[in-house]
Amino acid sequence: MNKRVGAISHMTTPVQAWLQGSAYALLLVFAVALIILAKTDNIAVERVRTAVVDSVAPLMEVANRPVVVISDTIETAQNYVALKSENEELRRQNENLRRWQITAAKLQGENASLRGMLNLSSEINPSVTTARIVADQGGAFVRSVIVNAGNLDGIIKGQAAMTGLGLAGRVAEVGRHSARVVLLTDISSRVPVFVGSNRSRAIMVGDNSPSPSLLYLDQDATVKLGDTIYTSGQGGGFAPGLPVGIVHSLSEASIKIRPYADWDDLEFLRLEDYAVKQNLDILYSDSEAEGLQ
Amino acid sequence: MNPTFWQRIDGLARSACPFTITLLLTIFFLIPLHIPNLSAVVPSVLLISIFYWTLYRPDLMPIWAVFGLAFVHDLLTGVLLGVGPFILLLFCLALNGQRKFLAQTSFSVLWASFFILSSLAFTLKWILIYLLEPGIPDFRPALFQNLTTVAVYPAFSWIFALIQRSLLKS
Repeated sequence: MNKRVGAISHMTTPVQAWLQGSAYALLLVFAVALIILAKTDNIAVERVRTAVVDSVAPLMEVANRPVVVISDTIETAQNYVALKSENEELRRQNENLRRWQITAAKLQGENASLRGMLNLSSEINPSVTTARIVADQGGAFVRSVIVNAGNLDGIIKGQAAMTGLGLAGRVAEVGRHSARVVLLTDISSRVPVFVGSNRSRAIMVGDNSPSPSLLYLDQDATVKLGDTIYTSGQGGGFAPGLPVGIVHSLSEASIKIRPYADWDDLEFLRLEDYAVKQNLDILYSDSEAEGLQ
Repeated sequence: MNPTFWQRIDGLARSACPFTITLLLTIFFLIPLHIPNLSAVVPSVLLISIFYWTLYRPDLMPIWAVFGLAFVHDLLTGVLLGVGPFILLLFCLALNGQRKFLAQTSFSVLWASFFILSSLAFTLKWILIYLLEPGIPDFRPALFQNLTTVAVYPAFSWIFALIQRSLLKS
């Protein structure tokens, strides 16, 4: 009934004000329709999104150049200042890593012979494309980046996006020259993982903070601080064994992960194709994730 | 005397100024600046620009332009499409409701009003994301992005006023 009163009272106001009011109502309805379309994963939304990102990406790339030059110059200057102390630190690390190299080589040989004995299929070597991040400042409600490589460069939806240190996210949308990578920390990110050396299963869930948490952990699992997290490959989202991060805080309420990827220093992403064919979307809804428990 | 072709083009370009500037700023503010933790709390220049132009030149920032800008912003940032336009339409509705009061008030009151409206917009956006996405989004980035946006408001407001004085005299 209130609406009717409103409509009558509008008749007394100028036509322009009435038009303005209807424009608001119409556009608000349109916005709600867009939310529904996006929420139901309408293909048209994805097409429009990739088309717009594709058309803006070259502009972003050009605008990015001066920023790259400035940040590279600052980094070079900082490197000169820290040269001596860094050198000593690297020497120490190098010695340590050499010892690990010997252990790794020994384990690699042992692993290969055991795989041979068990007749396990050999691991897939991914095809890798490196792409520069051209946009990453999405604000408080999303954690995704745009990279300057698209399906013309062989990028396909679902590829793993890696930094030098570990997994950073997955390719969610692909245009001709650009692609969007949803980071592990995004609220929509769900990654099936193994925790620690006893390979307990869990789902790593982002919440837009820098530290994702673990959900749906195996009931008999024991998790310690510093346990390593790597992808389990279950559900077919990612290849198994990609390094993700470590457990960095444990509480009654949640287990928080610190990803290996350094969010403050993301400049390039390595997009790796492991030819994982399964449907990825199964991982990105809560109900399905519960099913994986 | 009728305006010549070039005068018309000049007039059109000037009228399109608020829209174009907002669009370019929105795009440039997405570029990685390699500053730690900035990406989550980068000021929402879109909100500031729409506040300013809707208040001072509503004829050059009509409601469909607000919708278009928020639509493009949503597409580029990867936020669930439609959330940005929905919030900004309500933001403009609230702003237009207070137009008479805001048009005559001092700068500090205007800044405080922007703080209130921007806080409401961020809170509503957080609620919408909470309702529409799985899980509970962290509230801290929204809080800090709101604060950085309010903090840079005077600077951008000054720049827009400069543009208004030099390009949009009429």
